[in-house]
Amino acid sequence: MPVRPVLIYPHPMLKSVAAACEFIDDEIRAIAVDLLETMRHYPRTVGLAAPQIGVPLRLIAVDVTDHPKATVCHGPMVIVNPEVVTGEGSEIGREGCLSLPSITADVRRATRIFVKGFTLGGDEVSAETSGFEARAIQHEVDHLDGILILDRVASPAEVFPRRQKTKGQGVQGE
Amino acid sequence: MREFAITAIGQDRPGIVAGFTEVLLTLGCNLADCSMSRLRNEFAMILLVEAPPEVGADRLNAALEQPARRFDLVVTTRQFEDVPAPEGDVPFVVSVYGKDRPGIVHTVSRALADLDVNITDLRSHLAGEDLYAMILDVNLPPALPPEEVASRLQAVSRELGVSLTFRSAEAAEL
Repeated sequence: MPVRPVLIYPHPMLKSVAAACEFIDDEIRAIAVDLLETMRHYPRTVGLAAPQIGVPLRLIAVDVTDHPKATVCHGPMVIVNPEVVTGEGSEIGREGCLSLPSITADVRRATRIFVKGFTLGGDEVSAETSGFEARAIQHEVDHLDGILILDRVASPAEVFPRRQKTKGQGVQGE
Repeated sequence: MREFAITAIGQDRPGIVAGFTEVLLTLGCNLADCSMSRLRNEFAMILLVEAPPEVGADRLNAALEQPARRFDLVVTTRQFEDVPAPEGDVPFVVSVYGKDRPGIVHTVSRALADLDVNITDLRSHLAGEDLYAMILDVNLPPALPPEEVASRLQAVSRELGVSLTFRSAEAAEL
């Protein structure tokens, strides 16, 4: 099943801490394929975290290729057990989230980060990135800790209802 | 100089701000702090206005009848004395979101009021069927431990079945 349904808040998995992947095996690689395909299925979506497709594991996909806001781009990335090591600088930017389809919010993020984790081959990987790609990674890593953009807004004026609701492609929480 | 707090609300249309402030300008009033926004199609303004000594409440009210009629606005005016803000208050931001149900605003604000925490800004959005999101700026009295507010609010969020985050909004001095 390549494109999986995206969980929508208030699904409880979106507010839970995901478990580390203990092994990187074919099962994890299959989840990664679905994560990328699901991310690509939605227009303008530059990242997705495994809990959003119903898998409570620490695994994210990010791809800011050709995005007008991207200044640094590592192409399509899947990171297992990602950790944002250093955050430097900070900048406010507007973010949307497939799991909160009816709002967008202004969120302050580090502008330059080091991210480390593992590739799907099980090798340790680290990368330095900044700007929009760094924002996307921080947003996805937040999902692994049950943190949503509404938990990050700095003031009441920073949440915006979307003009048009995204039509119900997602799955409601129980 | 006299200071007035003016409110006006009515169905939104182009020209309300221009028409309303034209009358104030003609009276020789200076606009100090303003907040104006549209909720769905209702447009509301709060204006703090500095009026010259010869402009009293009667003259102000009489002059504002014209834009009130023209734009079908409900207008109130109140003269006020500026009071300095209490010193040492500690700013925090609260995000509350979850499935909509009656009583979220009241239960959260009651808990804050019981702790003598002051709400200085509150915005909420009913965004879609499953998301009611409310963000509050609040001020804690200097002697109140933030942990006490945090634990009270977490209890309230469990009781309401909503997600809640409470975090410092202290400005960085740079």
